Amino acid sequence: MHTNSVEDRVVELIVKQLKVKMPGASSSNFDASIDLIDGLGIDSIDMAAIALRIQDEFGIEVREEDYEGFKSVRAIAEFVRNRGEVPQAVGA
Amino acid sequence: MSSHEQLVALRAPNSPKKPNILPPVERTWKFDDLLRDDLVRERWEKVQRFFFLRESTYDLTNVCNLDCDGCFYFQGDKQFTKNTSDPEAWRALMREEKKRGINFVVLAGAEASLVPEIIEACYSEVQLGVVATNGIKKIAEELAYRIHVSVWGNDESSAKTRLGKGLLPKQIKNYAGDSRAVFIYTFTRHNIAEAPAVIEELAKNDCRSTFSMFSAPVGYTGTLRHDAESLAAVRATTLDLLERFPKHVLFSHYNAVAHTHEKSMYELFSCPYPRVNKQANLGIGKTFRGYRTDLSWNMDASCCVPDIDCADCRHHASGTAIVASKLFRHATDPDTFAAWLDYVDVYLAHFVHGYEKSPNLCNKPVAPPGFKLMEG
Repeated sequence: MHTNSVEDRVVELIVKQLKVKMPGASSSNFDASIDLIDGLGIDSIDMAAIALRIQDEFGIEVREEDYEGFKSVRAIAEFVRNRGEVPQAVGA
Repeated sequence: MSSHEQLVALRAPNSPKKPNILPPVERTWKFDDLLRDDLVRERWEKVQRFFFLRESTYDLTNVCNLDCDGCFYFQGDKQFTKNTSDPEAWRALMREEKKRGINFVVLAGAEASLVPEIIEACYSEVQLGVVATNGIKKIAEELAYRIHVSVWGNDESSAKTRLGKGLLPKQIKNYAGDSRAVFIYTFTRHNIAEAPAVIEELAKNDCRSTFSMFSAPVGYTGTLRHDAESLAAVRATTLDLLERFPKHVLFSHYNAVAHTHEKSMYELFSCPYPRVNKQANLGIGKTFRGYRTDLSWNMDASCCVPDIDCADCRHHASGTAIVASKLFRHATDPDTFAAWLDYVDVYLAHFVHGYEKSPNLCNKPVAPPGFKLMEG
């Protein structure tokens, strides 16, 4: 059972992907409301890597055309919930 | 309709295509598992630092000092736009480009070196980029862009296809040992056997090189277009040259596969450029523009090689975005991922001045995801 919410897990994956380019980024200081593309400037290849990590973490299918819609942590979390069964956070 | 308008209509680019629907690929490895190998992870982190590049292309002048068969610039209507000769206008454009996130400029056609004051104006605002040139006129050393010097065979072939005499000695004289320069040898159907001698000569003069494929402009009816036999010959030749000149040839096995496959890169990988991919919310399809000499741009022609026939696209510059953007399809298994990393490493080394290529990770041919290694 995962103890974190889907949003928290998505943030962790994004931070993991960006740690090489943004060494100061961490789950605790990541602004989950930021626009990932226009606000954070995430590159299409980084986004592809995030999509791969989402697929692996949540065991869901992500297609290439899906991740153009990954504009925010909330959008990704909604995608994950809509795409498949997601273990709920403890206490949720 | 005026005669000029008729000519424009006749030479207009083909109808923009839609993104190609690619066959599905099966992932057998998790992404983090692909990164467990130390060399692979280091290479991934090395290339990942450059995922901030946002490029657009700019035709600086409609003047050239050569007349090449199959030239992309003198196809379509972009050749008829008026020149913008005021460097301040270019400087202002670059400032506007930076505001919309562009940090890498590709300065091209017709012959950029003929307008050094415009290159200087661009460099004063954006210091990352490439100048595409025929190398006859040297670009000032203080302009630290990557410089792509075009080579189309030996001097005899160049005299026939480019109407220029004694090109290679002039090019070498201007750029021997110049860390900015990468010589781009374009294979046509007729100059394959000449490549080893040319690449050897370049290596002797400490000139680095990579390879491109003649890719027909729309409506091209000349004899340079490749066929299955010439594609196979180029593949063998490039791999031989990579082995013989590893320090001076920027290439990989996967470059050879991607650029000499019987299917074009559009067929193998689709295409992220706006000319094809108009609805993009992300990546090069969202931000890329191809500016003409009058500083206008047109989404239907916004492609790194605007008048190329997508069905024949094997151009080196196209591949840098087309293949590099396809991480998702290549992160399937260790060999395919390593082949993709090699391709991106080659791309960065031949486009970013100061980026040094590492030894290739995958020294065997790997099939493009969803396709066979060779057709037939």
